[in-house]
Amino acid sequence: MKTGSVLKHLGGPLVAILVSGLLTSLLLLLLGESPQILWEAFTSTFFNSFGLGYTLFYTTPLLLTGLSVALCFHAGLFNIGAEGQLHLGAASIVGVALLMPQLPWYFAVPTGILSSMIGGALWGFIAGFLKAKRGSHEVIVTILLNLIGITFVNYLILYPFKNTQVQNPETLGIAKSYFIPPLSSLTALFGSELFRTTPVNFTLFFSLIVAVLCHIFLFHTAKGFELRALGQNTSAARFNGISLTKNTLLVFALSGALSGLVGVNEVMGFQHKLIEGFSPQYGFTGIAVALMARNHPLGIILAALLFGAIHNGAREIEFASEKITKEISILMEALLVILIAGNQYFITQFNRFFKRGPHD
Amino acid sequence: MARSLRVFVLFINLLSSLCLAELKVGLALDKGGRDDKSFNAAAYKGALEAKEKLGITLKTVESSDDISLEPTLRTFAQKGYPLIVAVGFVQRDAVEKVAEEFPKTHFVLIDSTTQASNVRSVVFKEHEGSFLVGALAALSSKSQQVGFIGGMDIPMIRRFQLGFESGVKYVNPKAKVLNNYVGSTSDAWRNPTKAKELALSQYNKGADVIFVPAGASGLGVFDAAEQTQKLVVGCDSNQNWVKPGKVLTSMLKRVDIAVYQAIELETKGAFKGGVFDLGLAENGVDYSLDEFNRNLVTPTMETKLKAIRTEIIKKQITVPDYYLNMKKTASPS
Repeated sequence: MKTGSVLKHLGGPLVAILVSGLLTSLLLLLLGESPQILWEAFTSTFFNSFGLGYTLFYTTPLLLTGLSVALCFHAGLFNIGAEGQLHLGAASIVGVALLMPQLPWYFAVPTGILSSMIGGALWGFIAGFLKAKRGSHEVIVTILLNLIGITFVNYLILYPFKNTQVQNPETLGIAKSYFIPPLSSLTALFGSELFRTTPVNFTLFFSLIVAVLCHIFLFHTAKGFELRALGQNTSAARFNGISLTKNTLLVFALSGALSGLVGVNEVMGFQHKLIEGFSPQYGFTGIAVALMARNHPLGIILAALLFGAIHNGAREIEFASEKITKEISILMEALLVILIAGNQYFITQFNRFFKRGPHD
Repeated sequence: MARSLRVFVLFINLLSSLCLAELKVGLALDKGGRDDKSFNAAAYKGALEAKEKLGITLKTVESSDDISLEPTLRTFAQKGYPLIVAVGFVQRDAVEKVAEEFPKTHFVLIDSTTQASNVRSVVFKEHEGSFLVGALAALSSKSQQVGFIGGMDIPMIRRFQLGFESGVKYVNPKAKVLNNYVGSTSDAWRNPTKAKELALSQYNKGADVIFVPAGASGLGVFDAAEQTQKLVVGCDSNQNWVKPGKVLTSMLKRVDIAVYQAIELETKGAFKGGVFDLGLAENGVDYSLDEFNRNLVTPTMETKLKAIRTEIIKKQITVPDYYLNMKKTASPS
């Protein structure tokens, strides 16, 4: 990829970020707050160890759900089911960990990761199956499967896996061998206090690798090509012997597995148990992340970082202001989505202004 | 010598009053939010009172989801708040973790207990207060049927229920108690619509007083009471004013006092960790009587209630405690 094309890809989102920042500042002014707190929130989410730790912690699940949504997008399918899939993934880890608490860590960690993928993949597969074999619309199916999945996981949390010794709706703790260490344990080795007291853990590195693998799979393998071909032109792809049924099943299972991995960050990396309502809608924010990155796996890394920062920065804004609560993050994310979606229009206008063709 | 001592004391006073003005207190509320008119509202009221009387700087943060509790507490600690008040048992784990990471910061944990020495855990003997309002409900019920609508189905609310039922039966062994819970997830604390449906169904079945320890969900029951012209018993805060004439009384859980006292101790530099279990004898729980429900509580009822109250304090009446009835004797935290 040449520098020019990277700039071209990043230019639109950068403008969108700036404009949404301006609009949010304007809103803050209208509400009688200084827009300076926006800047303070921005700096504190990246430029101190505590803030950066939390930003990266929120980045991890958004990166995974973003990839999950993007993968389906490439195949021309819209997966809104990431929320349900990640719930199933997280519950699978707890189920396996409670069944086999004796495993040594070198078996336990891969088993946990694998079970989260299988749990998510199964939930994704159901949607894929209904789409491929029954022709049900995947948007409806995945939305409804979210409801079923979340309710089912809540049942698991409240009954079979419940920790009866506490008032909270949460499961029993998983065995120590399943824990994924926090990044602060790595920095502590070098005598650094970076990330101390923040929950960011090695799942971050793992999900970065997953993003790269997704990129290779989509753009450098035959199967990835098949998926993209189906997404671009279904009839042409089928005419060339690419199976729609098989690929729909595959892509939904893969997509579900990616969402399921969110459970690794949450259960093995942080809480070490499953708490009812553990996801602040990571699955749905993942759609915005994928949209922002135009479904490019490597772009999703940056988009997830941005949304993670917004999620974290919103709390800083709440602390800095008397009136604004952290729900402002929803507004900022919505602004970004609208601006990105309308992006092409602005680019066309911009190019026309400079008397150049829109696509040169 | 005496003179210099006096100057010294004066100086210390001055210094402490300076510190007093600067004390920053972080208040972390749970899902109900400061306007639940119940549990969180009580904590907020106590903190506001401290702000007015003690001149502290107060920062209140509500949690819309349970996983933002821990980052909120951490941010408070990170920003150097010397005293952090965490309201709600749901914050126990978060407080435990953060208190360990910031051993010099003081924490107040309402409704749950932890062993850390920098945490002041305040819990209440809800069953004692519930027993009292149960007795009053039975005294005022004409249909001999009363209702109970809990928020989330957890041991703590079961404790309310058992206390309430025993109070009802103590006064009128023939009375029937209808029981319902809004839900089993933490959303049950803020689902007034469902609570209202449950209340309407209980009123329809013949209950004429409903006790509602359900956080912000309880507001739905107040609506139902107004609609059906029946009575409701509020919880945690004094809720008599919410629907005057329809609220028989409120079971008070003095979270406000607990929060105020903790802040006051901190300003005096006398903060102490440990577990504080407050019941009727310690004025931690009670029932409310004011101009809004004066006409609903007759003098005979009041005399009877006062007698019961004294008997509980003197332990002549043993109020059954759900925590002790649970299989494991250790109380859930």
